[in-house]
Amino acid sequence: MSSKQVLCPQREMRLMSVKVDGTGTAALSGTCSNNMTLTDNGTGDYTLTYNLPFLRAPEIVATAITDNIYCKIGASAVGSCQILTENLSGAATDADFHVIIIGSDTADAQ
Amino acid sequence: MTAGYSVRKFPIKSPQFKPRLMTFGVTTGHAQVETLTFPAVAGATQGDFVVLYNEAGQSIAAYIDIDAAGTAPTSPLYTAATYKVAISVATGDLAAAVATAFRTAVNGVLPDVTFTLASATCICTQDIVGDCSNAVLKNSDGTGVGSITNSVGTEGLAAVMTTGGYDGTLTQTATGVYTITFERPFLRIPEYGITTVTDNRVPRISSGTVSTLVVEVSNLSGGATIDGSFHVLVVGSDAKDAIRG
Repeated sequence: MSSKQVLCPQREMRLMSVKVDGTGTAALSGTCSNNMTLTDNGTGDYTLTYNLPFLRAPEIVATAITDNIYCKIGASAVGSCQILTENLSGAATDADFHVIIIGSDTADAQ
Repeated sequence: MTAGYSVRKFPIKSPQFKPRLMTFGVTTGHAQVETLTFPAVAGATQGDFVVLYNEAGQSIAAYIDIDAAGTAPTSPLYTAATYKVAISVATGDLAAAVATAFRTAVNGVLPDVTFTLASATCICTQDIVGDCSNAVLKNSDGTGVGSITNSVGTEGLAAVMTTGGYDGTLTQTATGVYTITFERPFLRIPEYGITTVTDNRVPRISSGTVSTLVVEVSNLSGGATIDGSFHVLVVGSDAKDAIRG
């Protein structure tokens, strides 16, 4: 297979993705599960802490696996992000979900 | 791009071996809505018929049978239909009664179509999104147009992949349920980001494997799935083992 790079107008971009099993005992799996840790803060409240912080706060995409759940970005900092999961009525609810993280390892925007 | 200006491009890195990023855009299709308008018996001819289709290509042929004195049409358009029924009416019946008799004859026979009466018309709504043939309207031997008319309010259209078509194929397996099959599987199950395009929709990852993603879309009340358009980001790896952090 020929390898082709993904390019970006911003320098030093880093792409990571993980799966969070948030129902039952919270656990992390997936492509970059060795590159961050998971903290279960309470019902529907999760923090991912990156082993290597970014130099700019990354953008986060979170998508539910569990039915009838919204995923919300509570906070995104250079070293961690908080994902909140709610049911369709807005109540905090544990859920399984995927997270894609795209950030930069340079402090300045290109 | 403006002459003399170019965007600088830098590679995106990942801590995982052989990362691969793909994007897909899925635009929902439409279920066909077609209205049949029936004549009063005084304006109909014995054996006038309509052939109505569903999204799966099945058809029902229904002919006007006045006073139980009619005979089934001989037109190949009629005889080739999957289901064949008579619209039993009587001399003097008004158009609304003919429409009602049509609905009585076809309702529950042709799958995946909902029939709704509205005066002299019957609105035929497909239950499943997708391409659908328009009704055929003929007289008994198929040489003329007959007395039943139709109008298509919404053309049936299958869901389509608007972007990413070289990297995967789209199949809609049910209302609001979409499967994207990757042209080349990953070696580890990838992660997905899905965002709705259609108002008031909640898409979710129903299942994901190294080679397929199943997306289910529901409305804000949850429950049954409903059609919707959405975008997908796929981030995976073409290396089997996860690298150490």
